[in-house]
Amino acid sequence: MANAMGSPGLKSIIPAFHSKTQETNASLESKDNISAFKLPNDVMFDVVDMLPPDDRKQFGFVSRQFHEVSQEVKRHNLQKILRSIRDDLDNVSLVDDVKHTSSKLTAAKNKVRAAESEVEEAQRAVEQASGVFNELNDEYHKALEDLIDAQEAISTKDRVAPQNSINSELAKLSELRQNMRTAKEALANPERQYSEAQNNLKRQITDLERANDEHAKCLEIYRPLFVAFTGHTSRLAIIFRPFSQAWLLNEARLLKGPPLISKLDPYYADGQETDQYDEDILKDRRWHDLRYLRRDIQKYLKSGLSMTTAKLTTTEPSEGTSTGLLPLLLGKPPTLRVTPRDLLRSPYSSIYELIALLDDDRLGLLIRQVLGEPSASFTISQYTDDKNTLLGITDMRYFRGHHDRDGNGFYWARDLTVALVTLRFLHNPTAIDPESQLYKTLSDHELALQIVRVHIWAIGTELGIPDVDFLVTD
Amino acid sequence: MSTVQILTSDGQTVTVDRKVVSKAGVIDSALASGAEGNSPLKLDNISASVLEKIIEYLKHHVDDQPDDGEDSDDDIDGPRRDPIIDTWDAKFIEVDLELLYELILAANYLDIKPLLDLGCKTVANMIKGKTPEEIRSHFNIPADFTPEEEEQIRLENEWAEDR
Repeated sequence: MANAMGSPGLKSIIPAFHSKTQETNASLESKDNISAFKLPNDVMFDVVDMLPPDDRKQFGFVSRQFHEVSQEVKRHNLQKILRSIRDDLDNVSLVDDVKHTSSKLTAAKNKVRAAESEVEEAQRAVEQASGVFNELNDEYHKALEDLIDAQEAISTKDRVAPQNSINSELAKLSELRQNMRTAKEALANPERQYSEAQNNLKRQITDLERANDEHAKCLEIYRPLFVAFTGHTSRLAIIFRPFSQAWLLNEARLLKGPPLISKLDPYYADGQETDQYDEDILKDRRWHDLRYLRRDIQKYLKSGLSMTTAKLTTTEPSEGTSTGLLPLLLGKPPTLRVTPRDLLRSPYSSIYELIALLDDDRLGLLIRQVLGEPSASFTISQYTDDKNTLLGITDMRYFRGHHDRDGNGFYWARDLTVALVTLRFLHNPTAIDPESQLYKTLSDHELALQIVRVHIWAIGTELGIPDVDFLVTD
Repeated sequence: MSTVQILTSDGQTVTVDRKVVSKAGVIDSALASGAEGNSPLKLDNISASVLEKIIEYLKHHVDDQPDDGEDSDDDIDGPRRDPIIDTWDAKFIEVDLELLYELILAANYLDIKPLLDLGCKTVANMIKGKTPEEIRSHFNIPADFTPEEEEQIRLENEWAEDR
């Protein structure tokens, strides 16, 4: 045995080993000449390990012992995956690193901008001083010429010229010399400042390049990590299907509003009264729908890396029509009209990708388009102010307008709701400037990561594994 | 050729090639620690007939390289180990349930992982495709759930099924 049930060895194995003579359930020995089942749990643990999924589902129904083993296998697998996730999460500080390097990058850019301003200012000071200097210089040269002329006149006219005239020229020359010295001194200071500012600019640009490289390296490491997380989440979902109820209840609790379950109920959303409910069908449908809800989040997580930011950032939404943003989302030319049916046919991943990227205005526009109320004046901030409204409007109103027989309208409204709620409650877009490159690059990854964390936390809590709390400390 | 004497639970002494019997982890450890001495190794839980069957298996696989035994968690949803059994092993393990259990328990006890895996694969293959009732019937397992427990388990697993 090389699993959680115990390591091989004489002492550990002997208690689980029942020989034919030790068989206690003797009453079964003679039944139809078939020996009583006598494999212990640790052996059955290995047997389950070798079964395909469908047979594993049946396994737990056979007997108490089989059920116990099947639960043990699930716990073992959870522990194993959590360990694996924990290993990866050791690198989760990379997310913080990315944020940190991004801040450094922004700081470096600001310093460069400041240095550029300093250089410009110094340049202006130099130019100004140069103007004064050049003016004085011209005057000086003129005076010098005058002096030379005066000296020539003195010598050539045999001292005919009056001495006071010569003295006057000499005094003027002396004054000009003094002015020029002053101007030169005045020029020296801006020149030095200009030189210093230029050197500072060079340093800041070097820092900027360094910060840029550091940031790029962090992003490079972060991306594969995200892929690893989505893989883990997917595997967790597969193993813990039986825990889906607890997970979903936790998910609903996280919304801090009315139970998600009632909002997602197709009967409720369809406006039918409570007394028309067939309780059994309702219960059945409810969990059925919630299970799909989670699956859709999984789909989103898987598709997180496939988004095309360029497509969105170059698109201008056209207010009040069904053209613009939505056609692009659905892969249509922006001038084509989008019908609700187009929306229903769109892959969920595209919807999530879009929502993860949209700023408030565009998200508000999307909601208005989806709800068929292009002229409505509400904004996304009003939604977030009232969680119930957020849930209610996206669910109820759209559903009433576009519900079709197979319930796709409901799913779309629900998906939008979940995506919106997820975005608002698990992500925190106000913390990041929507215009920044960081937001455009990381918003979907961050969102996915948060969902993964909540997902793991909920499962860990359900299983009473306290050490998964660290996963959601952010 | 170096040999080892083993005293079985039914009082028989079996002489086995040391290289062959060393494939059993527990015996290998016992021999390495000098437990053998001048007297035979005692295996209180294993009868001579089961031991002979095990020796047959070990002889056939005496030159096999040990498996590293690492589980893969890449595909949690699928079988974790190769369910295919090679021809010789399949023929070897064609035994009645009683002997199959004894072989699995002995392999577990003696730490013979390939034989344990073979036994578990065989049991897994017997379970595959069967309903819980069929599994109970095949292995002679009593249905020991109370109706409440059964309902509880059914509810727990309800959402696991695609509809």
